[in-house]
Amino acid sequence: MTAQQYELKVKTEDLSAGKADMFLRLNELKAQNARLQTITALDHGEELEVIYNFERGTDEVNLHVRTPKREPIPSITGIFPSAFIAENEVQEHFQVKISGINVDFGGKMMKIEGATEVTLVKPAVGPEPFIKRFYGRCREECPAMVNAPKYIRQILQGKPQEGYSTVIEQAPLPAILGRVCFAPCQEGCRQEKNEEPIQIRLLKRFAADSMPSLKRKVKRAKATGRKVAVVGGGPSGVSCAFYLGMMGHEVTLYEKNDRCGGAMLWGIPKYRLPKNIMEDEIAARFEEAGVKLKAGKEVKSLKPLLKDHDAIFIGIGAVESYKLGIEGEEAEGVIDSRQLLSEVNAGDRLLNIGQTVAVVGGGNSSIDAARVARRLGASNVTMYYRRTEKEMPASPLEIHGATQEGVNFEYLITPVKVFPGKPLKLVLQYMQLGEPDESGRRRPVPIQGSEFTVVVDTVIKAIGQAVSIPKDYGVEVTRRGTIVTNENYETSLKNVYAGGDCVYGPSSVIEALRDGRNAASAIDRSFGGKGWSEPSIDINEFVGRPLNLEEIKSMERVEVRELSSEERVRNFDEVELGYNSSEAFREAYRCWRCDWNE
Amino acid sequence: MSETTMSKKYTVIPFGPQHPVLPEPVHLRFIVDEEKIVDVVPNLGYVHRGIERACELNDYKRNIYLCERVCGICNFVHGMTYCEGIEKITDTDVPPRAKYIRTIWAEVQRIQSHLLWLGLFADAIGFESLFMQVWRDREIVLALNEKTNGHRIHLETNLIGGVRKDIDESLAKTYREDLSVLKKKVEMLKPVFHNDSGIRAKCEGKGILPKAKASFLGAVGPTIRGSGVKQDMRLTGYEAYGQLDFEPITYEGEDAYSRMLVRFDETLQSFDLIEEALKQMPEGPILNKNDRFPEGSVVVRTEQPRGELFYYVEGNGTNKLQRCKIRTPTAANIPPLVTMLIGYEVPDIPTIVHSIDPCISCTERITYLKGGR
Amino acid sequence: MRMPEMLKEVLKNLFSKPATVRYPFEKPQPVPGTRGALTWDMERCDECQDCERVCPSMAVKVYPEEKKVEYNPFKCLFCYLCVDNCMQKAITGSDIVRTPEYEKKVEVYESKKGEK
Repeated sequence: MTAQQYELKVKTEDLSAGKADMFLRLNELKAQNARLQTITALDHGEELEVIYNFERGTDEVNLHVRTPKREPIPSITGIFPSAFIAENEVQEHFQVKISGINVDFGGKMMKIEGATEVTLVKPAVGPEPFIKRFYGRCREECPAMVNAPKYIRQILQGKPQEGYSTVIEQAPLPAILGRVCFAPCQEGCRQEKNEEPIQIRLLKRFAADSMPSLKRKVKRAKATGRKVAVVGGGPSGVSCAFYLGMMGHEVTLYEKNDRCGGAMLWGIPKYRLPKNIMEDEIAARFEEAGVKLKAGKEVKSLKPLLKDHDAIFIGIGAVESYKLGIEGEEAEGVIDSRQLLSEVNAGDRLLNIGQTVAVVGGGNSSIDAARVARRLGASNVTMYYRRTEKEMPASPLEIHGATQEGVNFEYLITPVKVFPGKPLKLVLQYMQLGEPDESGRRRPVPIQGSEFTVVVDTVIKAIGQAVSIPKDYGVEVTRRGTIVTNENYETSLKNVYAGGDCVYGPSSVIEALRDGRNAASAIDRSFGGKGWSEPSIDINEFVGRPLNLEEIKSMERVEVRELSSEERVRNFDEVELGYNSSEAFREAYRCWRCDWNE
Repeated sequence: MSETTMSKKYTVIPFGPQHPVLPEPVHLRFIVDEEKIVDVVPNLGYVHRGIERACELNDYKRNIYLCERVCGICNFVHGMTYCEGIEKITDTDVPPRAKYIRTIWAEVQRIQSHLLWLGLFADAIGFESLFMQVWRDREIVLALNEKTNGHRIHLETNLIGGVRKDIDESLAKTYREDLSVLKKKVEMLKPVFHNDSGIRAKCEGKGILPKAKASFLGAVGPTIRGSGVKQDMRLTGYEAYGQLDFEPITYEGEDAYSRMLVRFDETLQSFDLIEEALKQMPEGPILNKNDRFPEGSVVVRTEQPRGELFYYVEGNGTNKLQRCKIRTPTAANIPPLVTMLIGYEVPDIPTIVHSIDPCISCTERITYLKGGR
Repeated sequence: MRMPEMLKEVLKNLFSKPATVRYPFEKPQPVPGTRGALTWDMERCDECQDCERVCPSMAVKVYPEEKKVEYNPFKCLFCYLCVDNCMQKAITGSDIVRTPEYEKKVEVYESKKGEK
């Protein structure tokens, strides 16, 4: 196998030692089960630098020892007996003496022709030095690299609560992710070729549902005395606060609304994510990490925070909406989808939006708005999107759910003008697809003279969110309004970090959680710590292939039970009913364990 | 090796690695006085392949296929012994049906190996038509191997924790039919080997290994059973041999002729063992996967067609072994060979060397280190 | 020196046809179940590298980015572990045994499909 496939993040560690403490280091390496691979020597005139190369797990360790050439070098064959061939060659090439070699051939082994002074002398090694393993494609597709194969195995062994903790090592909100994540892991599953990927998201939800109260008994690291402020209680802020708290720092979180959650609160409807579960989970994480919550406080300027705290993380998200840019936009009855959703989802108010509703837009939040409109009593809900179904950014699961609930879809149509009144008159125009724009999708071009009018009670605008940062923060922003950061999540101000939607534009929950975790690692490292540990593989955990491959290949996917279509539109109860333990066991049994290492 | 003082001039004949009568390359140097052999100096290491070192560099699961290639004729037993070693270290239970299947295939290998040896022995004596006859009958076993496993000689069905292929009803019927045909043919040769005066004249009284010295020198297998000592590793009851009832065959002749008779009778005994194992085989799964890396050390001894095979396997908790040491029966039979040859004449050399059943590709894992040793 | 026991057999063999197959005039019948040559079906392969991990003699090399599989039939043992372990059933064996050749060539299988 060539070394440039799947970067395994092989770490190379360089140690130096003098002749006095060289054996101390060697004994340490031996205790860590390192294997000697090669010995190299570099000639520096009067001195010789001997480099011992070891393999420890999947890492490489180089030990550099500098000695003057006149003195004999002690042999390491007492600890690593396989070094004798290499040491004999070093003796021969560099005219030095190595004392105490365990097996001495009198220098009569293996002359290399054409050897120069800087030559690699090596014992006989095999073809591949270390174990090559995979993470599993599901884990590689996840933006946060949650260890999906491991918690599927733990569910199979009957320990779903340990699976819950496994998820929290990379992303701290499993109960929420098990309901709302768009699951790129399932697209990476190798069984997706025959249309039956493992339902990883539902298994994650099962692991969370099996915890009686979502609270765990875990210990924080020792207090370091550093104080960090987190602005914004959305997914990126919650994640950053949790990981910083677990690493021992003192964190205070400032949130503008009364309740935490951010886009999870106002953006995702109650039939997908019940709000009590969301709040229980965030509260449990804050309790484990010792985070102080200051809700209802809007942060207008960073200067007072910078005085009291050692670092700040900004995670305020994308809360403004794009305007349609047509005449009559401010008329009564034309409402913003974000406003509608936050009133319904967060405020629990059931607005009256009439019977005929038009929704403009094609993303996931537009579909959420349409489905909410159906539940609010509208009998005729139509979505207008200016391109075709293939280019719609909404996930197919959502489109399927919306179609089942009676939402109509019209493609290649865009609004041109709104005539105010009760009811409203909306003028629409047909489009056709022209040349592709910079995102690769074909740009729609209006067909002249094809306007027509529909009569609606409400028009909902759902064409996307924009970021707007208050000027008093003093951070540098791009043309689109997002914050400028480098790859270490630092902004243009010292000790101020940012991540999530406010940096990358509207994206997903899991990407915001990853940003929070990485920013927490960067903050900890700037304080002199080690950061939160990177996702890695445990060499010594034995993962076996399942025994009966034929039986597994013939099993079918376990579908999740859902509420029926009539029941759904009457209320805001959760639509997916989740797995029970026998269904979860059967689904986890189907996993092919692509990360096997036997 | 003995040092001889040169008081008169002896001739040194190299019985080199390549020789028309030798089946395998072994290097012996004979010090002769006219026609009588005075001393023998073996020199091993011609086909040293570095297998024991390669075992440390490979994944421990690939080692099964590497260890099977230590010897070409007795390959199944090598793989089986290695798997047994790893199973003992990791405490894996092999299902009973897999044990019976392994026993059956080990006995099939024994038949094939002894028939090969009988043919080569006849050829070394000079009896070409018997050689061709026995090898033609051996083809039945090789065709049987191909029908069941896919390959004629290297079966490659051992896995850690069981076997890969099952013997079901139709396959068992094929075994019984083909092996009964073969048994009839081998029994037809029984009067030839037991009574023929030509074979008798050539090998009776040659290559005497006294009973008192046999176990002191470390002989194993049919070499020692031909001297009257009842030593057989199958009596320890590994795999399914504990449930099968048999007695090892011994002869009191102490010469090459009785060793040949031991091997011939063992071939006939193997047919009975296979028949009984096929009857006794229980139902059940054939593979039980383990779930640990090997850590610890173990010694395993099994009975190869040529004698006792000794494996030492040591693991250190990762997926590569720390050490795997193999000692094959022919390596243990070389000192008795040296004792057997002294005092006989040069034309007797092929007979005596063949009578220990040399399988030199198993043996040669020793090298001599010069310069200070 | 009498050889009465073998004499009957010798005379019988003198008058019967040879026991060997007269290759190359007659070819031996392939036995079903023989482990013979292998082919990869690149439509089904998803470059998971399981066959590479399991192969005892490292005769298979998989390149996931270029969607290419290189198979060296001269190192292959024909043990069929790759066939047993391929989850997408992309490797098929046959019962044709390979003949000797003059050059040791490595077989390369490439996938013609576009981006996944």
